[in-house]
Amino acid sequence: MASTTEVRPEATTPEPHRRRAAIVSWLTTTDHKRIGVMYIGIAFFFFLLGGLLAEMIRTQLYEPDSTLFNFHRYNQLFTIHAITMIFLFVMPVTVGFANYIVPLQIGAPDMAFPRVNAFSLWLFPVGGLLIWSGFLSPQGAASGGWTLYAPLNEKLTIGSTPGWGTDVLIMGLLILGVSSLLGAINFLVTIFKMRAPGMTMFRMPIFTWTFLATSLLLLLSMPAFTAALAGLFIDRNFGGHFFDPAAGGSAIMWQHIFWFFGHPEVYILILPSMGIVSEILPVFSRKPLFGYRAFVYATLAIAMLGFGVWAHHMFTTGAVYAPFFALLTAAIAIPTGVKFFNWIATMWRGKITFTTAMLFAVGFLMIFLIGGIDGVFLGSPPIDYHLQDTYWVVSHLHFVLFGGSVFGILAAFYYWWPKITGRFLNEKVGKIHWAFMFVGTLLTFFPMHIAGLNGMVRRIANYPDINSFVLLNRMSTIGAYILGVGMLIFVGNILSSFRKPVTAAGDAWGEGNSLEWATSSPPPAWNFDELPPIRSERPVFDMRHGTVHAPIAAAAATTGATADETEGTHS
Amino acid sequence: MSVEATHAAVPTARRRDPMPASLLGVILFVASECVFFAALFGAYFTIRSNAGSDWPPAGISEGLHAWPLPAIATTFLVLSSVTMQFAIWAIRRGDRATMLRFLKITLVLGCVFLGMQAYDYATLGFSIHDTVFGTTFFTMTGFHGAHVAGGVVFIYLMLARGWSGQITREDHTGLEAAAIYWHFVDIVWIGLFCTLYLLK
Amino acid sequence: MIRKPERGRTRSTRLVVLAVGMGALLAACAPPTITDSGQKVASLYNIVLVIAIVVFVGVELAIIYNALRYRRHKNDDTLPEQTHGNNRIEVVWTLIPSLIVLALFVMSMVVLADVNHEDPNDRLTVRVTGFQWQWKFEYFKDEAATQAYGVTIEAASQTQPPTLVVPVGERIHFELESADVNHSFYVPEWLFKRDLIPGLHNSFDMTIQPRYAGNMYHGQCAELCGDFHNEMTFEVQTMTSSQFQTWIAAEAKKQAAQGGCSPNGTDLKIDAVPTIKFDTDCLAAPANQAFTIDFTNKDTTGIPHNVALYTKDPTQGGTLLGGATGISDTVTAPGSTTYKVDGLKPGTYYFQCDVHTVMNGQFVVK
Repeated sequence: MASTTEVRPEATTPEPHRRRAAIVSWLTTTDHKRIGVMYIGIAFFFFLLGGLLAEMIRTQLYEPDSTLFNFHRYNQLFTIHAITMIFLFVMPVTVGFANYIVPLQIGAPDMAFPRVNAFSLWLFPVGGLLIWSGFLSPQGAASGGWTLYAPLNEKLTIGSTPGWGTDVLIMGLLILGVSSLLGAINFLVTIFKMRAPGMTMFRMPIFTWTFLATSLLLLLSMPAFTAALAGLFIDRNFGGHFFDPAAGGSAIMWQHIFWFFGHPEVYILILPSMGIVSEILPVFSRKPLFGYRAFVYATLAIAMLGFGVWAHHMFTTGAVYAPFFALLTAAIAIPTGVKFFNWIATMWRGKITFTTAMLFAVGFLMIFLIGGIDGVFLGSPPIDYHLQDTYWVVSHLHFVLFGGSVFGILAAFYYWWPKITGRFLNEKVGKIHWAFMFVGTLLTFFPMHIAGLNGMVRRIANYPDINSFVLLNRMSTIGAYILGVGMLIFVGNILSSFRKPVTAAGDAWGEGNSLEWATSSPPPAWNFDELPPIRSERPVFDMRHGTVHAPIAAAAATTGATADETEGTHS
Repeated sequence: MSVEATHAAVPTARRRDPMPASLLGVILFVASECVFFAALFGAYFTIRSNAGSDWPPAGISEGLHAWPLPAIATTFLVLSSVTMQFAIWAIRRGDRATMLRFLKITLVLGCVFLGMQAYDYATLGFSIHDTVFGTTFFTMTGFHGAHVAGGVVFIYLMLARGWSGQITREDHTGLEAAAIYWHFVDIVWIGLFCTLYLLK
Repeated sequence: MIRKPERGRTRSTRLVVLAVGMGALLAACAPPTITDSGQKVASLYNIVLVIAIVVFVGVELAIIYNALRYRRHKNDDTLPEQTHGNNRIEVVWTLIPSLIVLALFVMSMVVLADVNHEDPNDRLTVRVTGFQWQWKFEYFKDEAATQAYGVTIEAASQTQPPTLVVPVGERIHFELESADVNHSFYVPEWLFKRDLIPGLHNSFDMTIQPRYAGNMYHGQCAELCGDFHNEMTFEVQTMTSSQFQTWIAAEAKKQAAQGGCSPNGTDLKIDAVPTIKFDTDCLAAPANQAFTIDFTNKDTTGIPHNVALYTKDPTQGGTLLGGATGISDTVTAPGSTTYKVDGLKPGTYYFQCDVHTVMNGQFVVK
């Protein structure tokens, strides 16, 4: 197995010089691993900011008529909370993990376009800071909701978002859009063109597959959002009339274009986490993923169906043909169900080790299931008429994005941390962290179902003291504090891990399947000294247990990418 | 840096690869651009169908004529697509001189198109805030114009590489990519011309 | 012997889990509803809920069972059987969810047709207008909204929401319009909401069941519509048909006497709203009685406004009667003030914002 110690040329130069050189080398790097680490680091910083906003929102809602924040400020809080969590945390952090892991998993030395990759990275903090700079505007940050509905977010005609907070939000989102688009192209080309010999499409690890689907979704949905944002910006600043019904524009059109992007966006946020869970479950169950091909087809089906369901966000507008969108929405439950059964069958008759990563993966299954099932209610138009824009939807989306995406991301942190840093996170502290997250998530988001069912609408700073709304909201607020404490524990775990020595072996968990475990932890700049032969979707497993032994030279990996198209030996 | 050295080794010219990484990248980029312009066309037709018979609105239609300027500009842009293709065919034969000649003609035609569009803008008599037609018109043609400008820069870069002898029969991926992008820009313009000037 | 208390603890844990589960289940049942179509939605919801609970419990048990049952024992280094898949079982678990969601889809469509059904016959029609950040309800005798009852209900002030009065046992037609941004008309007990989108016409029919006469319900805007979104509420009062007829006749008479001006009385309320607008163009007060005008400036932050009463348009020689004392006496948004005005003789006067004279209206004294 590959285990190389990187020879650092800086080791002999004097200390201050060395530190500056290190900083410069990080800022100018085109190494996919360093770029991935910086993506993860910056995204985590924004996660803490977005979490702070969430705690402020929940504190306001502890009392039904709280005056902690005025209405205008409250609207800014939930708008920027959503924008931050979606565009500045979940998307970039998964891009960060993918940046680090995907080239390793397919046995490539780097991404296809390393300099484009660095450009994508640096666009991300620029866009993020631009969005947050809105808080410096006299009218505060954007307050029109992350969905930026028109005409509320128009400026010159009607509405109430005159400040430049909304303008910097639009500009920031356009910049992040360019970043995501270039990233998506980069990933697609990397996956299509840079696979090591023997790494056929159907031997790719599931995380790589899900990120392939994610990149396709980004590629084909993000430009629609860009067009809508450009139109909104023109309306706000150049006297345009796209979404101004008084001047012949169309208000409903915003919703159509936005959700044409917005629904695939949901899968952009969840598919990588599904991939992460599909990596972790087999490793710690010591079994292959059950129904690998079915899983790949289910992922692609979800991605494709994702483009045909946007109007289920618009049932209550009365302006869409509900049966069509309801049918396609219901259809998405099928591939999702298939995935669930595959995950459970992977554990079945396995030999399960409960590392923290595995706990988060199982937690993902248990909590994401709720978000999947309550989505079925919303997919039925007559029920949606009641539940749309209530706290039921808030509950649903947080079960999907927090219980789903964030649990997957936390699992990824615990699972790949030794690969990235060479150090393990503390497992005992990790399990306490998991317990806080699990209890906190259920306590925060489950009462929202009941509140929404009884008619509590979303995006309100004060709420009527009826239908035990007060009790339900207090439960949520306490749950949110538990989540906050859990995240502090996690931050402590991360910081203290840096004080540990680098001990992780190449195959850090001793159970790795995919190629990232075939190189040292952390890997050398050139990724692999040698690659194991790739004869199935689990080359490292094969090398550990199977019949294939002879490593092949890494040099071969850089030439004929898809030379070997023969079928896998399994199934 | 050792990292750079490894990178440089990656895309070593594999002669017979029908789809080099950079070409695939540009094709994917063009695919996403299709969605971008589809969204703009979708917005235009949504607004158009709401407007009924008053289209383009009074005060706009007077300044909007397909003939002569826009029609001639369209002809030039279509011709530039043809000359671009001649350049591609030339380099596939290994005829670099012809390739360079056609590339130069393409560049000139692209610049002339941009000039004519700028003149058209100046003489239309309405602007982006004059009715929703003005908004859609300037947004769509403006974004398209920006793409043409980007394409002109792209072609100029190819021309510069061609002059220094970097485009050969064996390795002309960049030129192929430029051609795909240029044809795409051309097709979008035909759609825009038909929609905005002819169908109205 | 040692096991006994442990088993007791498990039992009480089980009881707690059961109680919490039952509580959650009861709370998750369809909420009370008062309309015909609401009953159908509630039944559909409960059917989906039962299926959801079966699926939820089944899958969660499977996850927990597998996680606990197949834990790896210490020092067990043998590999489990490497199962890669099983086509037959995968087909089965693709088909079963397909059938379930198809059944749910069909049931949904049946209920949807009922909820969206609009009777073509003439019937009581309420035109609902949403604006930042209140509601206006106008009553008509026909669904084309041509024969007005002459009854318009608006909020007396931002914090005193308007009351929509509706009869039970008959089909009521609602026409929805927005004056500015998107809103959504939502009464939780109807299990129904519909958006008000500028430039788009929306309507629906609703029948409230007779046994719910004489009640008050809470309604609210459900679509984010700006700063005061959460104050955009209304009340719904239900009446029997005969009570309703009496009410609407009396209300029409009263409003006709007031010249149709709103707000009306000695405690008037007017807002400046984005952009450079008053929320009403007519105010009314009784003759020879002192009254107050509560003025709130809700326009774009930083814009100054005021309210001043004149005998007629001052550019045509009107003289100041009360309210703001002139162009320097303003309230900058966000802000509010109260003007006290002495009793006036009957007549039709004029009010305006001195800073923006395009903001003006009639002031009726009777």
